[in-house]
Amino acid sequence: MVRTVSITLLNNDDSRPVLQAIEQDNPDCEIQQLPSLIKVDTSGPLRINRGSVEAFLGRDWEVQELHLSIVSLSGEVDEDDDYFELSWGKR
Amino acid sequence: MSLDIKVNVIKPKRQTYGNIAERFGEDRPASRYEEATLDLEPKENFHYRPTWDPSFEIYDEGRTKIKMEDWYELKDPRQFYYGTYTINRNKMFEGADSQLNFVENRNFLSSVDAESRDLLKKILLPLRHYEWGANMNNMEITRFGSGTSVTQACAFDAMDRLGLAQLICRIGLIFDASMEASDEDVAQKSDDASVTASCLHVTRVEWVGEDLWQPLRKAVENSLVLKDWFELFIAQNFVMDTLVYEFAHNHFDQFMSERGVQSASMMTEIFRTWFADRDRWVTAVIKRAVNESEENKTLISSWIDEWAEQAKPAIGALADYAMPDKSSEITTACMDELERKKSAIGL
Repeated sequence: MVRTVSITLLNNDDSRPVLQAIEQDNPDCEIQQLPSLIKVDTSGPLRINRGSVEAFLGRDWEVQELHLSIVSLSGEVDEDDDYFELSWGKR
Repeated sequence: MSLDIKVNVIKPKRQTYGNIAERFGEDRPASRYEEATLDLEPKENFHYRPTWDPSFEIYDEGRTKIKMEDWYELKDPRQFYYGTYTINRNKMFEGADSQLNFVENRNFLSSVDAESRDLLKKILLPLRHYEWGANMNNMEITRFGSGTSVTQACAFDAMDRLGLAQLICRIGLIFDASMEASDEDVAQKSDDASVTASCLHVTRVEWVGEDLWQPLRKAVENSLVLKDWFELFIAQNFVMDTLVYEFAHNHFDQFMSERGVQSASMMTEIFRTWFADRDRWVTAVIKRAVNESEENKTLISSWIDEWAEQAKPAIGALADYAMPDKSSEITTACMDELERKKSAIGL
């Protein structure tokens, strides 16, 4: 069974560049725009790269800033200075 | 019992303004920067030509020789609009303020030897007039430039320059205060001549009259009367700023800290961080204009060379005065930095 990993972010100006980066780096993901929320689902690992977000955002960005707009997530978290990755069963 | 929260989604009829969706080619949410920037300037249906210059329309694109298909391509990578700009700069200037307070409260400047202190005053303080010139120039670009993406960023830059000029004044006042504290004679004199404004007053006289500053003052004043706003952008924001900042806030700064005056670096740290931040914008704008066409490329390249020629004696004069031992070496290093940035843009 394929288990979906997902992340839900606030639908605001801060998450928009993050979403753009997710779209660019994870072509298979499915994005739902809900009122005030954005939910991203994908079967494979979901990776948010610092470099991509910075390119869309136009300034330096720390991966921890992501936590300010996370509403919910499912998947195991692998977080480093340069990326934030969600997946199942990667140990 | 399980509780199922039902989401009732009301799909908005449109995600952004019509003109922006048209630019994107699709109706997707736009960032605030995009909504607060794109197509803000009126383009058509002007009734009268400006009475003060009837040869041009209001927002006339012919005010520079540079040609762009779409002026809104010259975006600001920092994506500053009023909100983000003020938040960012508030933070930046608060940091600078606390560093200045630190130097002032500990009275660090009074422990600096007289020779270094005079040199620091001599080189650093007159730059407030340079910053003011940069403010005027960026306001001029704001006034005549094409496309809000350029003009709003220049307006922000102009305000930055005013802020930086004020910071230099503040440094001057800290000098005065440290003199007062350390030198009894000066304190005595303060009865007949106001000491508080003394060092800034001297600075102005030096900027206007002293040989050391005339080449730079000449370049600044020549730039003040430029009519082509894009040439002005190149002259001020690229050529002169690169050379002056490279000299004053890199080489001279290093020279002072080698002499043990680290407090100078503390006071001027903001100039380095500010310059690194805004340089991304300047480079991005020029790069995009260069990529537009071969004509733009030639024009920009010739402007850079022309202004580098104008500004070089200014840097030479300052280097001769401040670091006579390695003056030619420093001047070359500054010119090399300009050359490096020029080739990084693809010129």
